[in-house]
Amino acid sequence: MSEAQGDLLAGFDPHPCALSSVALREVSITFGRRYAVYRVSCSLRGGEVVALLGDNGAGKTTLLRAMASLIAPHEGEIRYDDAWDVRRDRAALRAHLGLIAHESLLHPELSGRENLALSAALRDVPTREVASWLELTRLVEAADRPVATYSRGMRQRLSVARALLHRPSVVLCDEPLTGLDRRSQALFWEVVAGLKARGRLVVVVTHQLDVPVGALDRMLLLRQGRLVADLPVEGSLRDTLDRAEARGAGGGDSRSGGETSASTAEVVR
Amino acid sequence: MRRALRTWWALVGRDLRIEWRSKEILYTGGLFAVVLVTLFLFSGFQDRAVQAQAAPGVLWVSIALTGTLVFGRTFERDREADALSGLLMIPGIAGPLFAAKLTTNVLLLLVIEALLVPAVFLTFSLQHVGSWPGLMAVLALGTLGFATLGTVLAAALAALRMREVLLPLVLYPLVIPLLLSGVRATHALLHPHADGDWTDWVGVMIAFNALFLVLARWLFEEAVDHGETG
Repeated sequence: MSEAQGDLLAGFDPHPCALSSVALREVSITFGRRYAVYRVSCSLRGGEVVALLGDNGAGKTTLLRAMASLIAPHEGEIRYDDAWDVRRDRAALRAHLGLIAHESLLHPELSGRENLALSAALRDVPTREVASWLELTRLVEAADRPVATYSRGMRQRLSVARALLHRPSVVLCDEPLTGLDRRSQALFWEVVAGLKARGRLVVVVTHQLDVPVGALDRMLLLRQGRLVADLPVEGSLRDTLDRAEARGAGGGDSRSGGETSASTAEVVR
Repeated sequence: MRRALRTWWALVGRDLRIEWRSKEILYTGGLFAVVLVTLFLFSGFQDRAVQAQAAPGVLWVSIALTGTLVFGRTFERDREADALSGLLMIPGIAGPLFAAKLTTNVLLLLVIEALLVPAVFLTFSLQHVGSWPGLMAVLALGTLGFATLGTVLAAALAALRMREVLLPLVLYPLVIPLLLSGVRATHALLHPHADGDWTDWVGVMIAFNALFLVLARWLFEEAVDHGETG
């Protein structure tokens, strides 16, 4: 990890994890009459980096947004530390959650610096930290340009800074690598390793299987809204996915070019 | 409370900064309002007396039509790049977010009205007003109530595909009593000897404002935070 990252993530150290685990029990989420997520149960702990895999439409983003308390489960429950329920305690929980979504969650009309300054103001984070995050994400030169003029990769780097600014205990990432060049991807995984070392739980929804060996601890595989595999990542993510399929968790997940295939599936009530 | 005020201030600053840079709402809203007034002028109100009778209605119809443009657009900005989800991840944001959106909507509408009122006075040859402070109070109350309901409905409809069509369909029937009170109060102010007391209508407008504010504050969090729940 670079010195700048070390310094910045060191800011997490005086802040102990407010949340150390999350348990999903029989979680189902419906849109109309369709199940997007069906009876998913699992427990995740702080210090784990978990990959959430699945085809398009498998329910990954829906499940992640439910963990972020943005969607309420229709059946089952999601509890942090066995006490905080995402429905009942969402306001308190959100202080400790960081979300990197597929969309940037940024204001395109504002500059990168203004976006981070606004997040800092709303999260009671000292404004002086904005400059450090801009440096870490290599956006100093573009800091005063409107985000609308940023490339996808630049927006994604700024999203990472926005999500980590308040030093969350749990970081939920929805395809954070999309549009990132190799250097930025490496930076992302370094930051994730820093978060893991500091006891943070990181959940990463991804289609990319070319993940540095050792970056991930667990792999959850969703298919048609169901959790079909929950395995420790041993070796590469690709090997772990092969192992899951060999155990019978397969079913249409043909791969090419390092990405899972695009097939849509729904569980119909 | 201080934190809520700081959050409100930061959000109002963000909205106004974005509008100051683009001037998108002010330009489109202002132009739309002026076009409406001009169209009304050339639609048959040739007689001076008829013009004076029709002016309050023209003014409030123009405010109502322009308002829906403003309310829809201020929320649409937060949907771009899903910035609204980013905001919702901040604890305790619902109250300050509602207050900030309402503040922005009221300010933008008042700026447009600052253009609209002289335009109506000029084009409809109005010369006498019973009480200028009274007219300003009527406009302020009408704008606040209309914006309160418009803000909460724009938030509730923000997640729907046909939100631009639905907003006026849902908003106008609910806000008609307030707009009618505004029309009657304005009429009484412009024709002090021909109509009732404008202060009676102001009382009605205050009552509607109180009702809308209580309802909106109560409904806003559910509307904005549960929009994704299927």
